[in-house]
Amino acid sequence: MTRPIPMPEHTHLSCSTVQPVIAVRDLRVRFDDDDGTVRAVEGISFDVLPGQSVGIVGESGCGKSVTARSILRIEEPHCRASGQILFNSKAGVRDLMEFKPHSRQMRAIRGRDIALVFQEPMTSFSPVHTIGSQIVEMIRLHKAVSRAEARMRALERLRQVRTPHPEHILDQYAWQLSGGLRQRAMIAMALACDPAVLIADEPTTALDVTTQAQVLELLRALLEERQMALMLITHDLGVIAQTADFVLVMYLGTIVEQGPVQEVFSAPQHPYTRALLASMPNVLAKPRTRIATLRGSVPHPLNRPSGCAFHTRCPSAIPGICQAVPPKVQVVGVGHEMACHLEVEDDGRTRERCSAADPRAVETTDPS
Amino acid sequence: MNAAALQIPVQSKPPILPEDVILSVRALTKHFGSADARGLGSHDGVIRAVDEVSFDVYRGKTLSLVGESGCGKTTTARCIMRALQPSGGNVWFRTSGGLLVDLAASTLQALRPLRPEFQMVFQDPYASLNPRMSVYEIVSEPLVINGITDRGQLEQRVALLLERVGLQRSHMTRYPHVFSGGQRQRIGIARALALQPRLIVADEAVSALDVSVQAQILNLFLDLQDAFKLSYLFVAHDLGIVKHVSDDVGVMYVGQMVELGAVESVFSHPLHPYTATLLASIPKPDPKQRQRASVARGEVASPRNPPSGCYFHPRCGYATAQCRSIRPQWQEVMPGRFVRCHRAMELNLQGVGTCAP
Repeated sequence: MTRPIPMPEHTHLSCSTVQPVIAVRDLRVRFDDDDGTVRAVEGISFDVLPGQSVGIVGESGCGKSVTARSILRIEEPHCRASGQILFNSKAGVRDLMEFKPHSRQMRAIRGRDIALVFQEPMTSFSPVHTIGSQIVEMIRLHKAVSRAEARMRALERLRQVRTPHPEHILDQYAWQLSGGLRQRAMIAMALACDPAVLIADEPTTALDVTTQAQVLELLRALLEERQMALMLITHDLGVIAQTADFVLVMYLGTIVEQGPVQEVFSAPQHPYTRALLASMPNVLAKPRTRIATLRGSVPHPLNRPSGCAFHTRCPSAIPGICQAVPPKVQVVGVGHEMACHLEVEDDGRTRERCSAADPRAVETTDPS
Repeated sequence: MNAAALQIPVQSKPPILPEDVILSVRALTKHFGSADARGLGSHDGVIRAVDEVSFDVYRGKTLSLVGESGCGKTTTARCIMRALQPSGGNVWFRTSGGLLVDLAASTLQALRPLRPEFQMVFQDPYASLNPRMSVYEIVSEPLVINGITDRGQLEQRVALLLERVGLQRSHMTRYPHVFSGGQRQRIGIARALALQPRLIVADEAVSALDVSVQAQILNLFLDLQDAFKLSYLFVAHDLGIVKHVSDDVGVMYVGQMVELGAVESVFSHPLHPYTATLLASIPKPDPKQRQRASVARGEVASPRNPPSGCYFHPRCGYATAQCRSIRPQWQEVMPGRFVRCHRAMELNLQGVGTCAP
């Protein structure tokens, strides 16, 4: 048995008295490569509360998927991870980082306690087994139940994710289903063992917008029905606004801002969050209007800028400081914090040096 | 190839069009599987990928085609470029000489001298640039093919093009792999601009990019349009992007155009229930406005086996017996506003924004 680890005191972030189900502390993930070391995740800490939905948002290469995979200890070769991933379950609090990725303990947690839904369900289902047999296999891996019982349970889960004709779907192959139905089946499979945490990595990115709306509504309903926690990874701020309770904004492996979703959307503090929100194409825009932009693009993680990783693109960067010193985390509101050198006024607002939302922000490309 | 596939439709008489119409698509149709699948036996039906689609693109303006996957928007774009041979209809293109030419009826040989005038920007900047060609070779290739061979002149033109799209002259000698997605898309745009086209067809040109880079490329499209009086045919699924770049928008569903009009009026006062559904499905970037209930029922119909009557009726909350049996006609209900719905004029549908129609 693992020795019990006390759950850490709540970070100042948590505004509730509920014990987090997952507490990530100073997680670092590095990949050693022929060209050097990629620092994919650089010391991030956050909590996931039961019944809450935490959204992780950022552009490609910001480390959001690596974070999700690290929680499940799905590691690629040449990967070095450190920090703590405290998982609070009936079995007590365990630090998942103490388990080997292939250990019996980790395999028992994966799928049963913490389940993962991938972006493209076509590649995560086997094409040569029926949907039913894959869900049944998953249930019987974790629970000592008969094949018939497992099948009943699979059927029940398919019903819970509102698939039409669940009996029929059980005997279908993944390639016979539409994208939306496949994603529902994937969610049904993830829910099969009543996980405490569901991690969804870009669950709707491959779906059409009407189907996406259906799947997001389903995820929200499931959160309400079960006291499950959801970690939702996406690049789409609209999806976050519609689904998350709490949001983490990541840039090059660090959390630049985190807070309750309403706070972050109504009063974004970090220049990157502001820029992301401003550069979103909006259906309410006047036709033929230019969008506020950031200069350049996300640097390759091998060439991570010094100091604050965002300084090369930041419209408010302070010369001499931002490129040299990594910023400290500042509290800007209840459960709302950001990592930036900009001064925070007494009212919790960042002092504006020059607005990231300025549509005339310089638009150039830097040579790669 | 069988004889039917090679048959070239006869050039019909050009219609009378306003001077500022650069592209006029009339009843464009593309069927897949009719002739080619006969030998295979497994395909039983014809897929009406594009079914009598009509719209006009004006000079210096942008028309966007929107819809979900499989609605035929990309096939429409490829038929206009003649990457595909249309099964029917006309694609009238006004040449720089002011003549109207039917791109759908011309032979590929006859199209060659016209090709510089309509160019394409592709979706995936990783797949659309040859990794073994330098940026200079990629951008100068269309010029070389069209007879400009003087090295000095070519380098000068390529340098100007690169600077125009926000890259640097020194990037010329590099290869695509050193560039980021956004920079690659700029290279693709420079290549499309090389021959000074009048119409650019952009198929999901920003969907593969990160949001901050996507905004840069959209702005570049707008700048280039202002600078060169370009006309764009945008194919997109993101309605936010469409709103930023378009003057007009055509909404497609299962191969058919269901609604067409000025973007502001279509978005604020949709006339087709499918348009309203699409608009309601966009996740609003405001946590205070969580939408519910507006979620559409069911899934997109298959063009292989479309429903009877109106293709949208199984998902439509307003469907009547008429919708289930009779196919609605494409009609102009207000000047410049077209819709394919039996009940377009009686429904009062919710749009986004509050501008007057």
